[in-house]
Amino acid sequence: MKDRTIFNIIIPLGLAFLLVSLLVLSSLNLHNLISSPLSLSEPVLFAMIIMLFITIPVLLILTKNIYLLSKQQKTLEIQDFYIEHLSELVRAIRVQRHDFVNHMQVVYALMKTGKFDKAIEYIADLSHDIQITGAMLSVDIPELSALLLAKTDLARKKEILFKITVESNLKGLEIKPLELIMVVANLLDNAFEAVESLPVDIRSVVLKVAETAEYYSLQINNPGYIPEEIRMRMFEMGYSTKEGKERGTGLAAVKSVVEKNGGTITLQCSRDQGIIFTVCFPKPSNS
Amino acid sequence: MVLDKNILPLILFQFLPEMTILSALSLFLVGYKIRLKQLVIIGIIGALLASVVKSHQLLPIVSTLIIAFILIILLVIIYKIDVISASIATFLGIVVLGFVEAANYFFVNAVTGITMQQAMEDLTLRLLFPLSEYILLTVVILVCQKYNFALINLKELKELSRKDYER
Repeated sequence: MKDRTIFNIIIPLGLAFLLVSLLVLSSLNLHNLISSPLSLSEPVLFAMIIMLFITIPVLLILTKNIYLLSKQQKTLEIQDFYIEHLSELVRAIRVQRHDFVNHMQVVYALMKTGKFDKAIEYIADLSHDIQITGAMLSVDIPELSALLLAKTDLARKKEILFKITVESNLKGLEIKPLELIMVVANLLDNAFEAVESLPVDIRSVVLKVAETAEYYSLQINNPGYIPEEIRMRMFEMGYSTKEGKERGTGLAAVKSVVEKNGGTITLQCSRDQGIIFTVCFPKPSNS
Repeated sequence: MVLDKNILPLILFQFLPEMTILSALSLFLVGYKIRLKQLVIIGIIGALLASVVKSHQLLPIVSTLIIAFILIILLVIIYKIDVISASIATFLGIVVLGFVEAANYFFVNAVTGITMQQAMEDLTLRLLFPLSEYILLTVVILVCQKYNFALINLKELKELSRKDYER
């Protein structure tokens, strides 16, 4: 919970606590308060007590309203997250549509000029791209397909070779789509960021979606190497090798979500195989 | 420390129901499900500790704060909830309990004419005085539990506030 929310709730609650203490004290010592020569007169005292009886429920209602406002704010933040990914998806689809028109024009021009071999070669290359899109869409979680489509577009822009192998449609995976997206998006973004500075010919990221008898697994592989002392601390909250105030929450949050869903996240790293993050979620017992 | 000679009936018929009701009230008001076994354990331990605190004859606000502190610790240890949630729950419970207690005093005083001072001097009256309050609060707790009413659902807020969506 963010401190501000707690702070906003504590203020009216603390005030209500003080007023209740005053109310209980005045009711316990009502007789003394009235009979004492220095104290308030009876009507004033009763008026004060009635005011307290009214103010305390008002403060409790205020606390409830503050809570509802905070809840709405959090819901909006989550919706923003969804909208951001949807916008990426829409942009990716627009680019694909635009590309498709260009491809058709190239094929048409090649055929018109009688270069049928070139046209066939071009279509074969094109079908590879279509197969990747098809593989993305075969995943049974539409939100994940959308994310992969958007990330493919991002990879293209960054000149990263982004390979997706889908060996499981993840049907039966019991995790909230938002949480799965958060895990995959974080890991892919980290992988993209890691290879961005590499020469174009080795700039690649591989995502493998698979399943075994017991687990669903997502594996993200990219070239590079992480020294052991960094690997040991990578999942710690606030730890980052990059500069910036808001860094170091991604992998810790990923680990927390994976573990919350009963899964595991492992990191393998070697000079020849590169960096491999493997996320495993257990299959439900009835599947 | 001055132990009341009627400490046992006080523990059994006043502190135990009061602590159990307070913890149940605190928990359901912040959206936690009431688990009877844990609640009874908190009630028993809380009642014993409350009797020790009250035997010191401290100022009412001081003893209330100490009891609140005890309840927070018990909720954290036995109910396994975090300190912030336990603190908010406890203070919310105390506010509602105190409010009903004060209303009950005025109600009983108006109906029977018995003052708090008179009630404190007689054990039977002392035990009977908060009876209507306990009955009312028990009914409120049961009804609210049935309809899942929570003043502020901290569990839900915590779930929404997780930073998982941020990168």
